[in-house]
Amino acid sequence: MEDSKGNHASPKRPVNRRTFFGLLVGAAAAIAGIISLDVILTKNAGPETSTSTSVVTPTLAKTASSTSAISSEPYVARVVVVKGTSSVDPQVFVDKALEALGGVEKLVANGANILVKPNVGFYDKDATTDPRITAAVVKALRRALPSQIVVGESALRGIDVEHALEVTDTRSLAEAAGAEVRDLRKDEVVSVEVPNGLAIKSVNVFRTARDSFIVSVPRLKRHSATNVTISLKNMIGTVPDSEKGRFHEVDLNHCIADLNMALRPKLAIIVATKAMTQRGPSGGVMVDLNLVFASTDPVAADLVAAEELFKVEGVDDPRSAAASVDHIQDAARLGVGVADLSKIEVLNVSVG
Amino acid sequence: MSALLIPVYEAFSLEFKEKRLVRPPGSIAEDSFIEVCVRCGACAQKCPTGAILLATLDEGFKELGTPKIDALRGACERIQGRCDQAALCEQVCPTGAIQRVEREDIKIGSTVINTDECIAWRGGSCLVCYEVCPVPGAISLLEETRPLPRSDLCVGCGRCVLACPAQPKALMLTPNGEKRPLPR
Repeated sequence: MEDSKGNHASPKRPVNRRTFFGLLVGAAAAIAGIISLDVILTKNAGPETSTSTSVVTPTLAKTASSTSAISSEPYVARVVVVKGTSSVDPQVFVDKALEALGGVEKLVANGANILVKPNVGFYDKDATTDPRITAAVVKALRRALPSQIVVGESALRGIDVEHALEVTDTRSLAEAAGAEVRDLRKDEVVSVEVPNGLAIKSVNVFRTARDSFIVSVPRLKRHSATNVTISLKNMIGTVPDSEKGRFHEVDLNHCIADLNMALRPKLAIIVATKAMTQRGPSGGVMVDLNLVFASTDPVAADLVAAEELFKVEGVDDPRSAAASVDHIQDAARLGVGVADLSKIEVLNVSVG
Repeated sequence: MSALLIPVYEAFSLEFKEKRLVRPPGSIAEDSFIEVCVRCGACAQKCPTGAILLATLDEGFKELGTPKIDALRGACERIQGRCDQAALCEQVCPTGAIQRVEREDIKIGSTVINTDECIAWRGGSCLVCYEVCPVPGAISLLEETRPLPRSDLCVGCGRCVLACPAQPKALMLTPNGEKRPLPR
């Protein structure tokens, strides 16, 4: 169904950059990525039986004729989309999403060190991750009995992270939920290799990020320089200012993919209860979507969420608009995850 | 003799004028400011973002020890309301060289861009200045890709200068367009 490969016509850029050679390399990288994934694949974790408050509807455009070289078990990324209303408790959104992914106990090992990475790069509540969802994620993850849960951020130079954590209520709510809240800029910086990096071969990151099971918890937003900012772009908050500067100098989209190759978030929980449309990452038009997306594949999660964002904006072809987001495609080429809808299972869950 | 001295003095004053400093919000008109400020440095000590530094001899003999906003060190968040409860620079000033002004009335300068250094103007994907600017429209976009500060709307907080990832910086904070209260 998805004859998507050659037709990702970006509205802004010429199409001649990615060739079939790129796809071949991407397929090989995907295999390598899958082998190295230490997440628990959800293929056997069948959907939980639906409760009285939820309706689970799997919709899948999986094609049997996968040309991938993986002969035995083709990788399928599951993306859960929880649809609620504005009156639904944030905890219900998060709990349902994780339950549909197989349950938090299966996703996270006992005794893990977890970094929950919300987007708290601004002082404005619209531009940052809803702190109630961040707190709900912390509460849910505690059920996996981790060693520690850190909620951390390092915003753009010029934004005081401590102040942002305070005025957005992220610090108070996350601490009340049982997390340690950190301005990552106070952390030690370590270098991490980028296997097959598109633009960089190594990247300096904060030690907490390198040593943790990372849960990327962004708000779904448009972005002036990268089209959208979701779970992949959110990872920029795990590197120091000097690296953010280098990324912009070198090639921001490639560097986002490279960073996610080096520090792959194991879980993406995308807050789209309210999403920022038209422009971003601040000052855009807020729209009530009442959605939360979740996946162990951040690339697939971003692709599905981006399509929803473009759809609500009224873009003519939201699917191809999502498929033409450069850093999502770059991350897929590296094997961070999949950006091919035939390899993505979308599981719709209704609550409330 | 005087005919010789005047051009020399003018040459010096011209040089100093080119180094006009961006002052903390509420700083009174420059000539009075130089007279009234006692160079105690209290405002610089209290600034929550570290944006206020004390001028050195490089900025002029008269200016030595007076406070200036250095956007390479910090942004003036008073304009964003950060200091609304306690506008510390104005509160700690013992002489009235820095006075209370309403947030809406603050304009300490404006940003100028050097497009040769700007990553976006050179074709890269960067709009960090646009992302961090707190004043709608103060940085407009040409063809959605290249930033252009507007001196009429910019209030001179310096956030974009601080955040600019280009090396050297593509943005510079100047006192152009500043509004200064008269001494009481």
